[in-house]
Amino acid sequence: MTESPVPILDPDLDTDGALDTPWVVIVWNDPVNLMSYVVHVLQKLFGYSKEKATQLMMQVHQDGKAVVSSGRRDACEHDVSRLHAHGLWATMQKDD
Amino acid sequence: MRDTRFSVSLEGVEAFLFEEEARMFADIAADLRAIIETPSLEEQDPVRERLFPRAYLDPTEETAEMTWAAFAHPELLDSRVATLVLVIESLKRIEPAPPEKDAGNMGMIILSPEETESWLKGINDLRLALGTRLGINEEESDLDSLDPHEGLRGIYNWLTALQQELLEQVYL
Repeated sequence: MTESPVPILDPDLDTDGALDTPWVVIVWNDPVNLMSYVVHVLQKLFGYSKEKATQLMMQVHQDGKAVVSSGRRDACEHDVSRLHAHGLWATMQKDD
Repeated sequence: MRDTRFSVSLEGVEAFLFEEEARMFADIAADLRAIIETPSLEEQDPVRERLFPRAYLDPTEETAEMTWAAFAHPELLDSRVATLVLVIESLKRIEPAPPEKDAGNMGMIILSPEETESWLKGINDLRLALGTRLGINEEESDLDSLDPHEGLRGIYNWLTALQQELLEQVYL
C-alpha cells in the first residue's frame, strides 16, 4: 500500500458525522456464534486490534450487548448489513 | 494419523474430511440454500428471522426499517446463496488425501482464500439455522442425549468443531 497525502478538508464540511453521531450499532449476545468467530468478524469488518475486538466480544458475552460502531444513520445501516452478512445479531439505535 | 482438519500450504488451505462428512456437509448446505431461496409460507419462520434480522428495534423507525430491508435483504440473500454455492462446489473436489498427509481414509480439498472465507461464513450460517431449529441456548446442560433431535444435534456439534478448527488452524 502506498501512502497518500492527507487531503485538506473544509472544516465546515461534516463528512463523517463525527461531530453529530446520534446513531450507534449494537451487537447482541447469541448462544450460537463462537467467541473466536465474533473476534475475527469485528477485526475484519472494523479493523480493530485483536485486543479491542476481544474486549468488545467479552462485553457482548458478559453484558449481553456492546456498541461496536457509531456514526451517521447511513453508515450505521451499512455496518448493520455487514454484521448480518457475517451472522452477528446487530441492531442500531439513536445514541441517547 | 493427522489430528487437525486444516493446514495452510503454498497451494491454499488444505481441508481434510471423510467422504460421508463432505456429502452430509454439501447436503445441509443445499437444504439451507433451498430454505432461504424459497419464499416462506409462514410469516414468522425463526430461521429466516435469525438470518435476516431487523436493523431497528424501535417501532417508530418502521419506515426506515422497511426502506433499509428492501435494499439490504435481497443483497444479503444473494451473498448467503453465493457463499453456500462456493461451499457446495468446493466439496465436489474432494479426493483421497496423498499418503504424505497422513490422513488415513480421509479425503482432501484445497481451498482458495475466497472458498476458505465461504466455509467460515457458510458453516456459521448452517450453525445459526440448526441452532435456531434445535432451540440452542446458553444454558445447555448435559441432557443432550435425551434430545429427540439427536441427528440434527450431531450435525450441529460436528459443524461447531469444524468451525472451531478452521478458526484456530487458519485464522488465529
